[in-house]
Amino acid sequence: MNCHTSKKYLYLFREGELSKTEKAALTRHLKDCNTCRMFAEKTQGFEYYLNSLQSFEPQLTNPEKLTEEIMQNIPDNGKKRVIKSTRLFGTLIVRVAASILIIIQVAMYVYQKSFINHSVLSLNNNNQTTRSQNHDRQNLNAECVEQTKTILLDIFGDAGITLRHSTFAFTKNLSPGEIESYAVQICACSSEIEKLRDKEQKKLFLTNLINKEMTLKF
Amino acid sequence: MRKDTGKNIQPDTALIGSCIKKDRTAFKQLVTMYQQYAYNLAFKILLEEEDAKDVVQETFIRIWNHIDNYRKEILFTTWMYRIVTNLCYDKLKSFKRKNHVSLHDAAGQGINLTNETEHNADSAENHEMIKQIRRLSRGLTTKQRMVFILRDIQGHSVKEVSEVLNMSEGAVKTNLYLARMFIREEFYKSENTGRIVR
Ligand SMILES: [Zn+2]
Repeated sequence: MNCHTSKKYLYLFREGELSKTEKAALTRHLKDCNTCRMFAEKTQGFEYYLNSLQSFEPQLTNPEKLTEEIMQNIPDNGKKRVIKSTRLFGTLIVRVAASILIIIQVAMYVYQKSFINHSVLSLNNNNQTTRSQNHDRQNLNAECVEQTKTILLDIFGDAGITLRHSTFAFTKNLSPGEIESYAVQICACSSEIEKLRDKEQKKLFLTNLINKEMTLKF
Repeated sequence: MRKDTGKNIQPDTALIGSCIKKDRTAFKQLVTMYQQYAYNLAFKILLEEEDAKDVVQETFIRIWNHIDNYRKEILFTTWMYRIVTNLCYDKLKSFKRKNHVSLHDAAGQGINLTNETEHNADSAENHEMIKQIRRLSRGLTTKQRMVFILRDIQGHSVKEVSEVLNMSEGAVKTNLYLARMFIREEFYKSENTGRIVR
């Protein structure tokens, strides 16, 4: 065993991190190597320090307040809703601004395209969308925006809210118009996405959906 | 696994059943029982109060939306543990992407914690520890940090860490060794300059 491997093994000092053979090889090396022995002695202080970290128990200062916030943010029966952050400054403002912008843009797009773009909407066999088609335009807009946001939030976590920047970062640079059209497509495929249990599958589905539409459109 | 508030109490079938039926009162009971457990874990990983609370909120929204996927063969806390860990992992990755300057980065540069008053309930010792961990884990990659926290702070076995993070045991050990090597260097550096009070 060389000193490099020996040092690596010395870091894996907790129970179950090294096999019997590895431990034996390390012991043999330490017998003959002064440098590694000194290193091992010095590591002991660090081990004590690491052990002391386990006593660290963060506590919530105001649990009742958090419970209330959680209860306010859980969706009404059956209907999914988007999370409101507990944060008061910075990110919240950015998120709210981004969300409003997206809502306006998507709403305008849907308003213009909802009755023309039957081909996209008919991708979805779900009754929900079939029902939506019979709704008036505004209901369709609101539902579509909410649905898209919920889907993205579910798949990408927080990043889903900032539609423009994070979620589509894995595709090419998109103009606002292109992003809006994807929102409509995502919304139209919501029931298919919902059926996929695994998050990675959902990501793949979305990526494929976007790439397919891109080659179709551009 | 180590003791954690709420970890050993499991919800009964009736409570879960009511939550599946979207009973808000039952769900509130569930939140009350497990929010501290979720917060404890989220805070240890993220080291920032507001980020941890965001993750707790998001966790319960997921639970509300997907509780019918919960199978009673696994412990409720184990199921929740995975949700919290995954959300924290995603959050850390998104911080890296956005070059997010979080409090734990700032703390290392000698800026005081803005939430100090909020942590009144924590002992001074806890507080010092939070600052130290923030300082020491600053330069770790997301994977190294997750492995380090779950193994060395949460006290899980290598096998448990590999299951929670969906990594091979070999990968866990490599990340663990790199994380400890980095932290050890930071630790002795700080010790030599007297920044860590032991
Ligand atoms: Zn050696």
